[in-house]
Amino acid sequence: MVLATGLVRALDLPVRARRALPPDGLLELVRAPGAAATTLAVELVLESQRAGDPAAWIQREDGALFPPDLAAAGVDLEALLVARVPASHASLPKAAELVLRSGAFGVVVIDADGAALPRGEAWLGRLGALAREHACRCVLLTAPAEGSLGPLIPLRLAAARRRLWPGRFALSAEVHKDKSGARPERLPGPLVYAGPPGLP
Amino acid sequence: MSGRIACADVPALPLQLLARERKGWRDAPLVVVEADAPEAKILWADARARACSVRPGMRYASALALCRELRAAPVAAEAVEALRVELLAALSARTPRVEPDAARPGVFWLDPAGLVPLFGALDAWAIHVHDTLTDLELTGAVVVGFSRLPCWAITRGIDGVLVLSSPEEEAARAGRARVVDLDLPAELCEALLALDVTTLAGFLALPRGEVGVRFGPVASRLHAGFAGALQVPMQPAHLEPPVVVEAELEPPDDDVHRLLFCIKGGIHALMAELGRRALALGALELTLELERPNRTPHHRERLEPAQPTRDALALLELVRLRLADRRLPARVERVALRAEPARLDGRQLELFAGRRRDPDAAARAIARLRAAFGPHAAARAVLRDAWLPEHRFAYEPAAALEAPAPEPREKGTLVRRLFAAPAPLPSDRSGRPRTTPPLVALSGPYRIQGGWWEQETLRDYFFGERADGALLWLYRAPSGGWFLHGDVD
Repeated sequence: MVLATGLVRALDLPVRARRALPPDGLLELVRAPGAAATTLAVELVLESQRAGDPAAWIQREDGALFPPDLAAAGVDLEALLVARVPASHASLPKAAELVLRSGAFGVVVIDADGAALPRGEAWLGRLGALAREHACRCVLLTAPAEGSLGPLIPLRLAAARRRLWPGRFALSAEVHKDKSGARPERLPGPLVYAGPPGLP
Repeated sequence: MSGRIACADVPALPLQLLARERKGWRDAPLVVVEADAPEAKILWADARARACSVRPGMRYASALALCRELRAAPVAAEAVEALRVELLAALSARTPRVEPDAARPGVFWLDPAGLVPLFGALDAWAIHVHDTLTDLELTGAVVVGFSRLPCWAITRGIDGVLVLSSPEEEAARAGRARVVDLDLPAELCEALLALDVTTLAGFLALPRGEVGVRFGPVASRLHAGFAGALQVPMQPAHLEPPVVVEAELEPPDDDVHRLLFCIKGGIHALMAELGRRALALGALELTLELERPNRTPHHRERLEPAQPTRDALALLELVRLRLADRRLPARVERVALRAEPARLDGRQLELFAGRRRDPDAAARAIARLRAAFGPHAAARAVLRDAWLPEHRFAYEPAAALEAPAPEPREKGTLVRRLFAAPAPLPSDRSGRPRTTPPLVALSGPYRIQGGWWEQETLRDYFFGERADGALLWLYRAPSGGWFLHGDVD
């Protein structure tokens, strides 16, 4: 299902995203080829920071976060906690639980692309409950080959990217699963994005 | 022996700290730079570097042109402060009254009063003080005299120990000190040299009033201090002795839950003692003595709460997180808890703080992450002024988070991901990279060059669009080989 709501200014994203995505709980973003899951996660970090809430990014020690592009997008790196944990299967959920339990963050991004995750769904249940309790979005970045993390994920989507004209791109949401109760027609629509310097 | 004062001087403390940490650089010319960059200023230079005409204030790249063997590194202010605390603690074992100089990082004032009956003579005591510096792998001088700054001026011209017999001897020796060795303000030093005043005696011969009028109040104060006219009373630093609680385990045990139960009792005892002293816990050192001392004598952990605390349960949680994944090689015979005391932070409650979430809660989350995964697990990204993508940022340990202040942007920006290790890609006959699915477009090159001052790196970066829509960020090395360095996501 592809839901495009027309071209809007990029600055509208926070308002639209707030209306569209559930304000708390789990959200799975799929890193498909031709998608922009990390960009959408960064937009959620920005939205949290604009609301005055710090954000956390949890990844492996050799994680792929590229902070210069986050700074270029406007993220305040001083207010972004980057948790870098060992590559064992339980590290990412454990770190996320410690961060969520504090209730200090508006969004917690778990970069689980290629990372080993625990079997079962108990950890997802805990993370979801903590995120709802503390009014926090818990965003999981996953690879499509891994499939859905399980039935406890209420909303799973990919941010499809298409080129509008040279150097400018739009994003549209491909909803893979929605049990969240959010109105899917109001998910973030296509937005204008500039590519990194040199990208035609 | 009233009226005596001693000065222990460790000159160029950051340089000595660097030499102590980088033992492999012992025989090389050494400088401390303000940052790890070729254009960084040199702050300190050792004698070998100075012999090659390298001077503080030069850029590292210029200095490297003068001396190819030059070794350089920045030294963090926190590391220098930690060494000062270490020195203070070590010198406090020689006399109970030690005062670190507020303006000169390597200078300590010591009170030898009452120590002659213990050591036999002031010379013997001064030698012990000097040995303390040597034990810490530092070089310096110790002078026992009668006034502060004259004593310090004498240390600048000697190595080792000197005990002065009279104020007259002190004044005579101090007068021979060179003004260039006295860390005077640059403007004052240059003016004195222009007046052909090269020694302290020459400086002191100038009328103090004239010095104040011509060079300002700082120069006037220095003049009075070196003349011995300012007799500031000793203000010794107060070191809180650590609080230690120990417990024997009979029989020895390696079950983490039972160990935690034992540690819990110890933490409560620590907190009670700290409360009695009106202090809080700044850090906890946990030592587990093991049953087979010939293999691994003990297991040691250090835990730091988000801020000085008396909350025993919060501290116990940090211990639990730290020990949860530890595999002890043997059963534990003895547990020792050592608290580093700290003053309680007496902040006022903020009624109109304006933040929706508790910033202290973020600090607690950071402390938990550090307890569970180590001190580098909670970090903050900082940008660096560099060209190579992997050098454009670094992670620094974070202790707390600032209130967010994101910058408004006119348009969104697609974000790249950078792989920790570039993945080699095969190339086809025409020299283009091969991927699966294949590339349908390749744009570039964008040449990036860096590290010319160490090991030059040259890369031609390209953006490649794969048939499935993926945007790859790849580069070609001078050898012609292709590497996938990231993607646009």
